[in-house]
Amino acid sequence: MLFNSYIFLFAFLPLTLVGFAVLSRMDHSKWIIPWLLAMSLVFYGWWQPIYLALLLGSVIANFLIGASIAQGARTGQPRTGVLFFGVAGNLALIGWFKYLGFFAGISDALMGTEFGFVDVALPLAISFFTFQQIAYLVDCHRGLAGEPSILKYALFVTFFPQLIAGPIVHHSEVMRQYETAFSRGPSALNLAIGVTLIAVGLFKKVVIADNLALYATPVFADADAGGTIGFARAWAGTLAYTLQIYFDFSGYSDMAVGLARLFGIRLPINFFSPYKATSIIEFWRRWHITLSRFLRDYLYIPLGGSRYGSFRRYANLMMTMLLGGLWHGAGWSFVIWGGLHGVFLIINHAWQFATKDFKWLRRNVGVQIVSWAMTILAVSFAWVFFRADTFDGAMAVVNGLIGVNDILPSMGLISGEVYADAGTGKRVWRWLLIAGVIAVLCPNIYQIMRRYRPALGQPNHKTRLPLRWRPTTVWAGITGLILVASLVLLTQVSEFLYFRF
Amino acid sequence: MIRRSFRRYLIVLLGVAGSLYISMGIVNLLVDPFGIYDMPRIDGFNAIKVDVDKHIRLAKAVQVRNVLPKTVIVGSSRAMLGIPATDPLWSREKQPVYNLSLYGGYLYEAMRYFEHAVALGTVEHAVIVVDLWMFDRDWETRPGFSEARFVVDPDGQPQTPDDTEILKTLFSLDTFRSSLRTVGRQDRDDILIQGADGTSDWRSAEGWLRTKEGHRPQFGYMEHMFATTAWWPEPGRRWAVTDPNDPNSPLQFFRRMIRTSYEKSISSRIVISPSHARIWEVIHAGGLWFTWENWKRALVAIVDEEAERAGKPPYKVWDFSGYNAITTERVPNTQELMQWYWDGSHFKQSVGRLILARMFDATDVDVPSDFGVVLSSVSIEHELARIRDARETYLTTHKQDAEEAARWHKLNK
Repeated sequence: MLFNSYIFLFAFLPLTLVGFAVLSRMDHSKWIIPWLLAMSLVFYGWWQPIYLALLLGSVIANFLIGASIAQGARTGQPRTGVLFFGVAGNLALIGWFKYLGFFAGISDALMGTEFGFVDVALPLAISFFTFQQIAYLVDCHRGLAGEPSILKYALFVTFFPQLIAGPIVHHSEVMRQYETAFSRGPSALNLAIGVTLIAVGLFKKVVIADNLALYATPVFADADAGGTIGFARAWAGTLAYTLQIYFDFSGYSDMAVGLARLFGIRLPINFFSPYKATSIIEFWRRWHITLSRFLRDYLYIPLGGSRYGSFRRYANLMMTMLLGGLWHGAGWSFVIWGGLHGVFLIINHAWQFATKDFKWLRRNVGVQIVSWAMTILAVSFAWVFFRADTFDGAMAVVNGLIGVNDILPSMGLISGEVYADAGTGKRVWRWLLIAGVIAVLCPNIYQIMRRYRPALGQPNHKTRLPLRWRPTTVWAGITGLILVASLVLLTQVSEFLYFRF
Repeated sequence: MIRRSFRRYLIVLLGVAGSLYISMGIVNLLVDPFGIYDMPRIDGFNAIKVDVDKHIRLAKAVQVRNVLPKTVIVGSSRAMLGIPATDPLWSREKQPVYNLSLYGGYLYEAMRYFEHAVALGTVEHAVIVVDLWMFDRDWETRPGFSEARFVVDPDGQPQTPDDTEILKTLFSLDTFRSSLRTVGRQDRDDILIQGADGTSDWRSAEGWLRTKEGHRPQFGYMEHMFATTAWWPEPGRRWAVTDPNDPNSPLQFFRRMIRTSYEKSISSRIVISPSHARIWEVIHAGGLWFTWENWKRALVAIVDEEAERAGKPPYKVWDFSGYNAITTERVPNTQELMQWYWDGSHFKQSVGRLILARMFDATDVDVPSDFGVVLSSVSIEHELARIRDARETYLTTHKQDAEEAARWHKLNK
């Protein structure tokens, strides 16, 4: 089930909420965890019931392994072997389902093996639930976690707001909340904040991201099909995708935070205006925050982090970003994307080191604006590789961006025929302007609602604009409009004008 | 206090969203811009469905379930614009008649809509209007086509249609815009409108053609389109329509329609549509003349084979194409209006009436004697030869037309 589907919004969610309210009213709060667990499994199984078995198997196995590790940690006899076994098991699972085809292909190419095309259907959310559980096992080993109740553990992994696309949650962040929030039952405060976040998230996804996709998708489809992309179209397509993926993913995360809040649970923040970042380092502190945090704590630091000199540090950074890229999907384009960010981060760190004595640089507005522009350009450039299905497609867009097909020849800088771009409609620029202003200049919803701390761990940035959410009639009306605008755009009945035949 | 304000916030928020959402649904229901909620059509309010063309595949799949016709007209845009479903020529026992034709519809879509209508259980008569291009082997379903709307699945098994689409459409902004346009444009006549019977009426094209410098540019436009997309020469497009063993040939879909028709004891008539003679020149210039002839042979053979299989007399295959008083109408150089055609491909409903009159032996309509012949295994070779001869005559009598139509293919080379 998707958050932006009718079945979810009009059937699943109301039913789950009513069950939650009834159970807490009737003083059956001990049944709330089983209820939410059952509904979360329905939520997951709706897509492909068969993979429920996989999810449950993974949950039970990790629960048992975690219990053993936690016991070792409590008794002062660390069970590193069990941890190793558990982590390897999770990696094997994700490796089998997600990366088998990819590595078989590499093996065929490099070593002449003949695995051929290996195609295993990818179980939904496997990247998220395996990572969350690996973190849990490591936390158990560190003595930070250890859950005695299998039902609670299962809910921690499968809780539907966060199951499909994060945020990736730490055990310690939510477990205690389960106790208190569920015994209190629904409250007007939680519902008001939750519904507001859901409305905003849905709007970002359905109204902004889906409309931007209309402009990004054809450009990349043309590029992947071997077409030539002109300067204007390449820029429009790249920027449209840059904004699309932000509004899509952050909208989804806002909905996840809002959905959990309906049940009184505060999830960690996942996006905090990443396109306002003035450096790549800052970008990664604002983009998919729970993944960055995971990669830092469970990959970069265990690899050695910055403890063994700058060379090892840069090597660790690169390794982390390459694997982080691969996590997004089994394909070279994701590796290239991760590698680009690795390079950007290394440059960024080297620059910080080189300029550490020039503190005025960081305060100068002009320098800040240039830094922001460079950051957003680097990020957008990397998205081209992330989005294109093929390397050739990505390069076709890159060629368009630098004007190889039309701008450079017309300036006499390179020879060759000037490629006449089919051009882009004016509308795309209007959408880019609106979405860009929202992403770069406007305060985000966590700033606007700062007083009520909608998410865990949100930065304490104030906004200079006098936009402060309060439960007033005006805010209710605005949010109501945002909600209804999103709902009526859920269905764009596919249009087809073709009467000539 | 604070608690109360959060409660009030929720009530206002959900109240605003809910009331707007439901009001929009009510407006959409009352206006029924795609004619899928079976609401009354009120003159001056919503009688003319100006936006139904955008969702024609949805609309017709749903409308036919409400009409429950005794007769269906199946075909492509020629049948949709040209064969009137409401006309005294349809005898009482054939009514109600519903025009299921779709623009852009290849034979597969025509077959599926036919099967859908037949599975509803009321269909006793069918007029199946075909053109060569519907049998393109590179066919694909058009955007907006969905198997989930039919009461019978592609394997012929009964299925429950997905009616959530109808509900979703009710609460869509897109529908709301169409509702507003529908109410606001009842007095406009520059549009193609679809009647409740499924036939589209281009009621204003005459005024429109006057502003577009008349019919001749329209002919050229349509011929160019056929030459560059529909009747692209082989091997760019595959027109291997005559191989009876080719499982991907749309002829197999035609066979399936005829078989279904016999199995359900439906009285069917097959019509080869009367496009203007200039279109035959486009076919000829594309090197498809023999394909066109073979296609007609195949239609007759399939009808004969299926008739024999069913133990019933073969359905009549009416050929209105070729060269006759209608198809050779003079194309004016001025903005003067033509009597029978909109453009080379689409004929007017006046021609559709002549087709009906000829097939139903109507005595009160004056049908040109050379318009429409029945093709059978006995007569077909004679009729094909007659058309070949008639073409030679046409080339001399309509030299300018023939050359103009043929030149579009030269642009391909």
